[in-house]
Amino acid sequence: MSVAGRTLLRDAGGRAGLILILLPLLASVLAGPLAPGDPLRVGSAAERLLAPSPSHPLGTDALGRDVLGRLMLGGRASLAVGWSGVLGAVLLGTLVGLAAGLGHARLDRALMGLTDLFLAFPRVFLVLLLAAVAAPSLALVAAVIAATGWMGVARLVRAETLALRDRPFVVAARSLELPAWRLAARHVLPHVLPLVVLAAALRVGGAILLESFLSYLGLGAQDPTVTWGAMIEHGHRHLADAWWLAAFPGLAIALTAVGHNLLGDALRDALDPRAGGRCDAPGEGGP
Amino acid sequence: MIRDLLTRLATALLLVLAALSLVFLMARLAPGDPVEMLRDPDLDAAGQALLRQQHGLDRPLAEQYVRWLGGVVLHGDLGRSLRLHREVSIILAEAVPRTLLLTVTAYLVHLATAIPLGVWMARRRGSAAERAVGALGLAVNSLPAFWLGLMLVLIFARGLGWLPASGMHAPDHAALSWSARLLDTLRHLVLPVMVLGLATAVGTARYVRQSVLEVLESEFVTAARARGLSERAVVWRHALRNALLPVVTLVGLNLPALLGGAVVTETVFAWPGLGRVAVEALWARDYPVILGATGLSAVMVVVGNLLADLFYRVVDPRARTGGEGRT
Repeated sequence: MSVAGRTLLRDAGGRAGLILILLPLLASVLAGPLAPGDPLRVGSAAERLLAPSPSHPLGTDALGRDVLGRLMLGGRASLAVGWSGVLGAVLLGTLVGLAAGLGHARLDRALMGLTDLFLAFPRVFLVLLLAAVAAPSLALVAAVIAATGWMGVARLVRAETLALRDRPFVVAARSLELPAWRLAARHVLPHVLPLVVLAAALRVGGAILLESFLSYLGLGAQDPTVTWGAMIEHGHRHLADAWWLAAFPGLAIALTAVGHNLLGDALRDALDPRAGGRCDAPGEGGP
Repeated sequence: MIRDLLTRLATALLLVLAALSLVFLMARLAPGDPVEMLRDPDLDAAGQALLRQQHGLDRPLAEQYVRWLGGVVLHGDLGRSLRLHREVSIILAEAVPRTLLLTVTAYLVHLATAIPLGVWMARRRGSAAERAVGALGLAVNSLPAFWLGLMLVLIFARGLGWLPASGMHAPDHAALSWSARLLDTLRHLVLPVMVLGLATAVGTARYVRQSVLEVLESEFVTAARARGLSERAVVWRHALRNALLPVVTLVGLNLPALLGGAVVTETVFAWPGLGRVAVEALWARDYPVILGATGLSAVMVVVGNLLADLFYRVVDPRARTGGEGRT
């Protein structure tokens, strides 16, 4: 295992973060055999809005469905959208950053202008606008998170690339007249990669929060797919008589986001020992 | 100096124009037809055609774009809502002061909490209490804000009955005396401000802490200590002033986050501001309103950043000459 990996696991925060991420992952994979009853089955009238009890540890919702079982399933959407959305954002940001840093000054100006343009919008407004123009789905949410989250990574990668481009090994590679993509992929990217991985890790928590808000607004996955955000929306409508409907999915989101943030912090310390105890940079985080 | 300022102004203006164009293109190049997306059951084919004609949606896209942007720039005309049949500019003009009331209050509460807390954290660095507060900040930053709002409603409105659950005014607001009206609005403000301003304050406090710690290591602080000033005077009068400069920039640049947070908060608490208008327009697929609200949010961010920039130049003489001093 690499030095960074070992440092990561020696850190208490990193270990706690890993556990908090594995928990919803395992729960959603094992929801079939472990969940008490079928989380999608609509119950009889007598089973509706039952408070937590031994047979339904977290109670039932307005359609008589078991909340614990649905909570276990709901992790799928959060993790899938959080991870794929951030992956898309980071890929896009890295491409833009590399192109701006290595390309012609005119390309650099154009791409950075585009970055400034996207940064001029509060992210939520841009997300709402994009979500309004297509049918709601999980893939749409992931795409929207990617399309509105790449700017910070692009700036980061560009700055790092500019610092690298006059180093002797890059100048030497350039003198071989390699194609631009090869110069970027083989000689610059490996040096930027740790930074990119870190940027990704620090963004997943925010992406999960954003996904939950969009699902809460009804713009995420539609029934019968279970999402924690949609469960909270359901709970909002029954806030007066069934507190457990809104309370537990929110805790699940919070713990998953905390897990990713802890892991991201531990990763930062592992990758960059100088940064120990440094404060978070202002993110472009979600709600 | 003057030239530099003019360049900044011109850049901001260009950015606003580009933002409005981007919004229009995204909304109109989308596959759906705005009138069909309305899904209004009372609207037959003839009604749809009429609505399209009234809103100029039957014209070529380039013409629509020029008309829309021209209307916005020349007359502040954002078109009419497809659903409410009112001027978008009037809907937004009603909503913005309410959003400003919420965000400015939240902002003041945020700073009034974060700065003293950050200084306290710097002075008690490494203590158990300081680390506990830091950990709490990390945890609160990971809470979904809309869920936090719901839980506060559950506890303070439904459970204890101390505060109203949603809205900006009680139903009998108009009949109250002015002092009772003020109290009524303040009571409605408490829970949204807790979500928007207070919950995020620990994050900023960690930033203030770091900034104060850095300044405390500089030579002029050592000099102040050598003159025999009390620790209190050193921290509050000498260190904090300099430590707050980066904080001001950070908070100024966080305007998008504040406006975005307002959308979330307004949705949960049914606060009738810009965010609520945008979300309701989104549900109804009322595209002229979404367009206007998103464009306006970008204008607010660009103007806010310009003001933060100017403020920074006034406060910090070092930023006036270099121009590229900040990253």
